[in-house]
Amino acid sequence: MNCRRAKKKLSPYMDQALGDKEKLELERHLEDCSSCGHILRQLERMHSLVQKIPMEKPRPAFYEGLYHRLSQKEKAPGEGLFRVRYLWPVFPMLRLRRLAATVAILLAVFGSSFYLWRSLSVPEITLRAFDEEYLQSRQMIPLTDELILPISDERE
Amino acid sequence: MKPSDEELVDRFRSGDEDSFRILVERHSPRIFNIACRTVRDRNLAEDISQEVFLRVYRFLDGFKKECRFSTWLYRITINVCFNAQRKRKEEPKVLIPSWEVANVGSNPGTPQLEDESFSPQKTLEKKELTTKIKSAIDSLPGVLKMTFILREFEDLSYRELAKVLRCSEGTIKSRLCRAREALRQKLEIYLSEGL
Ligand SMILES: [Zn+2]
Repeated sequence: MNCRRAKKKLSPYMDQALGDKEKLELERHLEDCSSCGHILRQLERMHSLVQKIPMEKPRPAFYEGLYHRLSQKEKAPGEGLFRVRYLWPVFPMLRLRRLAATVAILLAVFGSSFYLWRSLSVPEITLRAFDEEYLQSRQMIPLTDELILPISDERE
Repeated sequence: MKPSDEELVDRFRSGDEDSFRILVERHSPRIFNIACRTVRDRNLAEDISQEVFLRVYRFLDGFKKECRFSTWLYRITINVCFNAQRKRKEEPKVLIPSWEVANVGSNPGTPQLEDESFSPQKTLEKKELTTKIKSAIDSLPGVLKMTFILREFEDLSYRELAKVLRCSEGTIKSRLCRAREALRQKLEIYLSEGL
């Protein structure tokens, strides 16, 4: 193994991502090559310094802000029931049977047409939308050197 | 036993809003940390993290379980971080990251590198070194930076990284190699032996 190849193996070596054979070859090279050994020690020191940077924690206000924003935001289409659920306690107080009946009929009509519409519409919209946005943002960023693979279908 | 992310997602979908809070509390420190490392601005990092969870909330019904919830969450985070960085590039007025400023003003006791000694001189040096390292990471090009951050701070394996960043493991390997080499060259004077 020459130095050029060895240098490329140092990073995966640190991550224990080399195969047995490559690892052995590299270790043999490191025994003889002080220059590559020096770089490895620098990389290891850098790793340990990076690891010592303490984790940042969000302030309590972060959660307050988030829950406030969440309470104002509706879910994406498909969650009509989420809002309607909160209206139910109102009905016993109003004691307006006719209004309740009218609302129920309206809900039934709108609800069924909504679900019919939803069942006929494209179900995969959200992940696709993310992908498109992701790819768009990628195109704006220099150094998009990698192949962008299609979404994997595998399950874990 | 703690419910898995996927169980919480199912519960949330069937109307249990509390499950979403559990997901937020479980994952927000991690997401916030990634955002902090990416943009080095606490306020912006909080905005980013909030935006991530707002998107999760909005789109959770569309999450198809093709991958683990955490993978999906990382993808959204990366997406929002990249967008934020792009916007930041479009507004190049900010010269001093408000991160460093915020650190001094609001929370002077924030530890930098873990201190074993109380020597003010050493503490200052360590603070400076932390800032140097953060700034070196920040200077990496977008995808290299994100790959490095997810590897070093989130400890994602090459396989997980490949899934989250949608590329091959070989690409991950080469990106990490380039990121580390770039950082090593930038920080070389601080990496000599015996320091
Ligand atoms: Zn060598």
